[in-house]
Amino acid sequence: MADNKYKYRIEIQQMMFVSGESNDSPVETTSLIEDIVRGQVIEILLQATKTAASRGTKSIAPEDVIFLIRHDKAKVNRLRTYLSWKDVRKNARDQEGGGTESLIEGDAASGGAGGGAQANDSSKMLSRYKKSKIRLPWELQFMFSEQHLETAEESEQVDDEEKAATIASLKRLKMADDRTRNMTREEYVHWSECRQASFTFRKAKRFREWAQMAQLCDSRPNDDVIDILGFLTFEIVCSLTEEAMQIKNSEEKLNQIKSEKEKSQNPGQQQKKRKYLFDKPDELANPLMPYHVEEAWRRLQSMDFKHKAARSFGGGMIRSRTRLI
Amino acid sequence: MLALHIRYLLWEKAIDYYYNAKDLDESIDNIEEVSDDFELIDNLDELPLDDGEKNNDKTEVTEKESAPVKVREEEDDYDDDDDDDEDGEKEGEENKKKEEETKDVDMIDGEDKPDLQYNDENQVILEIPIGIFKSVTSNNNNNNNNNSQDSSSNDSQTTPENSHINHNNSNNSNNSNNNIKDITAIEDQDKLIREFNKVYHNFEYDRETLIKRRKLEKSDLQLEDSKNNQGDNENNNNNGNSSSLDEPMAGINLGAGSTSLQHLLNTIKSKRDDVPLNDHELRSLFMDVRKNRGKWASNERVGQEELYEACEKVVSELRGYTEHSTPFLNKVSKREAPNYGLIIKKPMDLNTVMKKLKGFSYNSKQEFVDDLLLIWSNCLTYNADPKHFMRTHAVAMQKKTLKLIPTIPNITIRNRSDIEKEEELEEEKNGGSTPSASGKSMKKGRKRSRPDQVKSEATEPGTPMSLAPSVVDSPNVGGSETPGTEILPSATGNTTNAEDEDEDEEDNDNLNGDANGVTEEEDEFDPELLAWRSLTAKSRANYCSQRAELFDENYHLKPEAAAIIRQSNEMKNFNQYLSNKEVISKTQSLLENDEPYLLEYDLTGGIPGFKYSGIDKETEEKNEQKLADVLLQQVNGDASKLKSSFVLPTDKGLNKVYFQNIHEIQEIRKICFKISLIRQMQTQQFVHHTQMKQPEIESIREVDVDNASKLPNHDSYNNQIQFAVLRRNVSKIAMQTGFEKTEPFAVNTLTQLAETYMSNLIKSLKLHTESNSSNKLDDTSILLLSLLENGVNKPDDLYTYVQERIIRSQEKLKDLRNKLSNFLKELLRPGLENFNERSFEDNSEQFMTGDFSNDLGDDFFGFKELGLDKEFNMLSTSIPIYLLHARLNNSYSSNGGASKRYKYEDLQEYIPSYLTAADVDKQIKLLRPFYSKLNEKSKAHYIKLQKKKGEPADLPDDNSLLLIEDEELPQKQRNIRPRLPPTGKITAIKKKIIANSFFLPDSDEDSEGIVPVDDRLNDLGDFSTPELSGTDIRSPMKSHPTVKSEA
Repeated sequence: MADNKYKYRIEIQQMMFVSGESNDSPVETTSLIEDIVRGQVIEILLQATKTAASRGTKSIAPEDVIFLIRHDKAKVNRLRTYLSWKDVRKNARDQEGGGTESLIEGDAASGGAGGGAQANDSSKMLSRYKKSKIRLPWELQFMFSEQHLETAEESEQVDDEEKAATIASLKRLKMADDRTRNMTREEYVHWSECRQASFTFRKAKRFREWAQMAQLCDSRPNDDVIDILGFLTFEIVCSLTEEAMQIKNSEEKLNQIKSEKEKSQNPGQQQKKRKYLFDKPDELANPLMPYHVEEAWRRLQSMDFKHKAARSFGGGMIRSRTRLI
Repeated sequence: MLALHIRYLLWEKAIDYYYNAKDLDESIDNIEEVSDDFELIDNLDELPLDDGEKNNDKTEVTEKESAPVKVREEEDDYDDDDDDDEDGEKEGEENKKKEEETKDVDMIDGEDKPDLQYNDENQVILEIPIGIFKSVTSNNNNNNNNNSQDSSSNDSQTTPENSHINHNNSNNSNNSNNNIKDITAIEDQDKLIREFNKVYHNFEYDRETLIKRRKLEKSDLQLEDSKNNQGDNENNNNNGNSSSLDEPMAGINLGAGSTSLQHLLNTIKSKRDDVPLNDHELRSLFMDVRKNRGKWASNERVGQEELYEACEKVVSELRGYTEHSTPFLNKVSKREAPNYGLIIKKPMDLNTVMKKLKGFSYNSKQEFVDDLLLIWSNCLTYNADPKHFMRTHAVAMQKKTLKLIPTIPNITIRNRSDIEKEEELEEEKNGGSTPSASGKSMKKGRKRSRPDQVKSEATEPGTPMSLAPSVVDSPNVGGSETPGTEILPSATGNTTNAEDEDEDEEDNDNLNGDANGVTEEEDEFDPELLAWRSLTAKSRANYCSQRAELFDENYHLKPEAAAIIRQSNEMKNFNQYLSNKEVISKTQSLLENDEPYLLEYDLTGGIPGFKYSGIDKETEEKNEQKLADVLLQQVNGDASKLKSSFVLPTDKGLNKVYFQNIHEIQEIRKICFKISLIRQMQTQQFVHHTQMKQPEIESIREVDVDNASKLPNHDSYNNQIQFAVLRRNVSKIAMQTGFEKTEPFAVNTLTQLAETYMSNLIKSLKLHTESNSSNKLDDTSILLLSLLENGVNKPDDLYTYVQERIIRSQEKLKDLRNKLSNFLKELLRPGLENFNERSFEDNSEQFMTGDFSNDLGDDFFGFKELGLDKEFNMLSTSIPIYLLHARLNNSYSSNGGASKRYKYEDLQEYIPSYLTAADVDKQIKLLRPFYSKLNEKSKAHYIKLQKKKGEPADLPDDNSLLLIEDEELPQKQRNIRPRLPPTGKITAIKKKIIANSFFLPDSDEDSEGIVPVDDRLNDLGDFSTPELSGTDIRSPMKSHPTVKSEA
């Protein structure tokens, strides 16, 4: 295992578990996913370096990475929240250790009103910090040469975008809630452990080596970038798994239809088998196989009309980069 | 033989001559001339008539006489009113013929028979030729008795005019087989021309004709035989064979030249004794005078010109016989036939013959004829298989050659010196008896031969008997059968179906054409069709190539191709055709092309002219002026009030939002400028007044298309106007997105992209609407599908775009503007807090326009209270900016605790005293080493100074020696303390969260900031220049409907 170039099997399995795959996937699947993820990370790094270069710097700033996914607003907002909470955590650690847990709880309960007045106060303070922190340079206010100083009241106002992000995250939480509803305590512990799985958390060095950052980037990307990449890799694995699950489900449905048809055609053979208590279940839950992942990758890479609309009726080959999932 | 050959050629020439004369001026002169001759011929006719009756059965004559009547009946409906005319013409031709015949005879026999009878035109009366004919006919009589019948049947088919000739012919030489064949061939041709005009021919053979013609032209080029040359040559021959339709004038001129020359010659001849020139001089004079001398002409080689012109004509005719000649144009290549060289020892082809001709390598007719026949015999030898298709071509060509060979005069080229020697010898022989006469006649003969050959190539009959065997005996002729024997069976066949004229004709064709029995292929075609094809090949090719010029290789009409222009002669032809007159003979094209007029191919001739002359520029201008006046009246003369449909209303809809957004953005920019100005004032001691100037931000307004395009007679849907309108809208969007200004190139590119996108959208819409698929989509799904294919996943996307990018951004912009102006107020407040009237004292005149007080919204100076704001409008709205600067700067620096002046006001007067050397010890101990060091330094300094001044370098006592201050030290010894941090930057208060050089549409804007707008590149119009107003109505650029701006 030490010499193996695949280093994230466990993490990937955990992430897959979070996004719905309940079986143990074979090594081939995880390795394939890991390869894909690495390819994506490399692509992200390359493109971010390019934007940074056009900005005139050599080092990748967090904005460069966010810029690449700017069209997926929901993801950007999720990322924002993620980063802000990361900051909160960091600052909370610097402050007195008290408020942190309540904040994390608040996150889990989606800003539940359970916290006392004091917690509310501190969270307000922290959220202001977060807001002033993550402003993206392509927002409207940066179109102009001067910016006003933000007052406290202004930052109180919640953007529509943030509202949308909250709605999206609420949906996710609802999904997670549904999944965890029937879990036992142990299962839930496992689940919550899995949710914390990350490519980068506390293994930034390993991640850098794994993604060959030293070779790809002129300067060492800072921790924020690494964190963003950690978030994005999680998202990549999740969306790949979800897509692959969909494929698997439809495949199983097809197989089922086929077998039913066969049954109806020659009913004599299959009917005789009786069911006993300790028989294996009819359909063994199949893990995700590499070809599912491959198909999912293909689907996610397929070019949508938006990207080739300008070339329609023009003929010729349409070149495209790897799409970032 | 001889006479018949002469007849054949003369007949041809006579026609040519007739048309020439006709063309010249249809002059009465010619007609009169003809009528003069007519009398003469009448005389002549009598003799042959007698002669003919001796040789022919009377039944034949009656047959002949009855036949023309029959034909005439048929032809009557065709050109009844012209029959008489033509008869007259033909008689005229006859006359000419006779005339020339006599000339020829004169030429040949001039020396031998000096005692000929001349008429008034110096022509011989036909007595002598009859003698010759007699002998000839008696020679041939035995062989060809059977043919008398045949010839009579031939005669019966000919047109009445021709039968007239035939009448003479048959009287003269009816039993001469070959001759009749030739004549009937010509007549048939004429007849055929007549016939095929009755039939409508379609264009199915045009392609191959054209292709063959192309090949021929290509090989012409290979021969380096420039068309002009050929044309000249042919004109010289007065053959009318010139294929170039574009020089009809040359031919006519030449005809005129030749006839006038003839008159001249006649005159000179008659008055030879009066001319004080010797023969040589006269001859050289003629050489000079004569127009269009042949290229073959050579003074040294006598007879060359005549021979070569005839030969060339034969070769070009053979080459032009594209039905069959194409395979023989060039050498047989090794690729085509690898073993050709083994079988054929002496290869030959038409181009080689032509080259040899050009290289003057033929010395006699025989050499030339041998070469020609060699070509066909080679082919027949090589392609021994009797079924081989090439044999058909070869035989046809051979036949054609044999037909043409008699037209070549049998001349052997001799050197002039030899001839002259002979002449001298002869003169010596003749002694002094008639030296001048014979010499004259000789010269005359030679001289006359030139104009004669202008009219006909074969003026010299040569020795007919020697020619005929050479043809007959040549082993190349197919089955070594003489033409005579060949004819026999077919002639007998002829008698069986003599009633049917068409059949007869066909058989005649067989008679004429197929000596070798290779009739299978050609029998498939109607002889008329064949004749039509061969006769009209050239003009058809011309027509077709003309027409082909109009099309490009994709069979699309070329818009820039030259039009086929109507020509007057073509129109005349067409009219003649319509009025059913003179279908063949009177046409110009017959003269030029030797080919009949083809109505089907004449595209332009029949098109009548237009009455309507079209609209010229002036009336157009006038109409437009009127329209413009009417429109101007409607808007009281203000052209700018005219609205076109391209201006969107600014008071409603999305356009309004756009305008508001752009306005907001501009306002925010103004505020931003003020903020940055204040920041500058805070940090810098001095602010140049140019820096204080507000950059002019122009408020935009929608600019219409130019006024001329608004007129209803202008098509507003042309590309230029539409592009300009689209560009205006695109730049509006760009401005709304946040661009301050753009390069015209950038906007143009954007506009083109938008154009492409829109047309793609429409194209896919069209594609789906016109789809043949059985799965029909309804309109909505077609629209949705097209949107999807062009990148709009669902129509909601468009809504969200408008909602988020335009309406929401409007809110945001307003909000931002409020915030910024509040921020500006806060920045200003410290500067204006304790503002009193004393502040104006320093530079109160320098009122600058910076409407800061407006921004503050307060009544700072109490002007409003006093009512002064109405009196001095300026005062209330502006603050002297220098004062503001000073205030801001001070207030800012005072924030940094630098305002010590105010704190220690009593210390202001204190001037620290200089230290002396004696004071060093008084200092605190910590500093003493420093001061003692300084003391040393100042001493050294002092000494140095004294030395410089030239004074004694004594040190003054300690009390008076001042320690030098840092400022007095030489540059190097000063203590330099860094005043700035190592970064070299004084950190500003300015708060920038993220470097503002980073923008969404990255590189473009950066480069824009650096690169100035180059005016030279602005030719397409720049929406940032405010001068482009729509006032110039006639500007070539029809519209500048860009987003326009006013200062």
